[in-house]
Amino acid sequence: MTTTNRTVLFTLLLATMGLASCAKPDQALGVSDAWVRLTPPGSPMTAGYGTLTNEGRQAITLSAFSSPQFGDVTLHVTEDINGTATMREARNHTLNPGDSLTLAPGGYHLMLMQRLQETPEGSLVEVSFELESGETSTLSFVVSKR
Amino acid sequence: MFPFSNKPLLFGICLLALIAGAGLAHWQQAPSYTVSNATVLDYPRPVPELDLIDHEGAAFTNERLQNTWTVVFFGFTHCPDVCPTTMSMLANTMKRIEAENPAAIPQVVMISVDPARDTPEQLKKYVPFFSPDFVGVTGTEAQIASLTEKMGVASRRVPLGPDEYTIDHTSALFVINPDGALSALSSSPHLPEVLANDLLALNSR
Repeated sequence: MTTTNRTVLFTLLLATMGLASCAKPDQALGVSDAWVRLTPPGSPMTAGYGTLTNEGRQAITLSAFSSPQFGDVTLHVTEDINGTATMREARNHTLNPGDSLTLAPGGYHLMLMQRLQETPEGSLVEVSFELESGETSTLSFVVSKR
Repeated sequence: MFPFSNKPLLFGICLLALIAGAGLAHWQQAPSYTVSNATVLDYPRPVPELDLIDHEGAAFTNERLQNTWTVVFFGFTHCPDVCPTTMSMLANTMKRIEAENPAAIPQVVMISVDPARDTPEQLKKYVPFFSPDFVGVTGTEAQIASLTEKMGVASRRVPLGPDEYTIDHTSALFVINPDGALSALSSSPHLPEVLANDLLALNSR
């Protein structure tokens, strides 16, 4: 490869990186390993888990959630305090750019109450996260019996 | 080499050696378990008198704790995280024990700390979902309050909204021996592999 070719390639690489950076939205929420526990019969509620990541350039405050499948969605955290399992709402949890929040059994979780429709194993539960920009970020959680 | 009269003796010696060898091999292969996470009581404590009802509507008294190991979890059905997680963990634990020693599988009982909502019918929908062998137990509010107090089980209602509440409750599992006495406590976090090992260890003591 000639020096000229190297320079062109390097310039193209920089340009691509610049474009990618510009393309990064102000607020964007991503999720990995997203799942909802299959609701046990008789229970009107269940929980959603996964790793939420702020993929945007601005901080995101997790303050309002909605789902077509559940009438009431909130972020809760379970803590074991002196041998007692306690569960409290986690209001306005903030994710800085690049930060992640792991939702896992026995810790943070999306509490899904007032089930509005059947959510069989393998189906998807859609959860919308309202962002300060006024936009919503809708993420899919697969229903699983784990 | 051996006179005819000694043949039965030789046969007997060989047979004894075979039996001893087989026994030694079995002893060497038999797995041994050591309790790693549970707190074992030096002196098992009697379980308070039970006058409860199971998810089939049958009486659940202390007799149901006889001649079998029992694992008791205090939970409730309107619980999105801890209870289904624990029940699912218990089902996985039983599969592990079944693979190692089916005779050591204990009875698993969920006693509701929310008797106002957890009727036998409600428990019948919920508990067998995790395993058809699991037993759901409830009672009147007074019966459950008395039992949890005597067993040192925390249980406190916490409002979630105008018409909804959750319950903070003890996360430990209570292990009851075949004499119906409390033998050990297993604290959270619960892991199937650890709990299975501990239950096998208690069973083999």
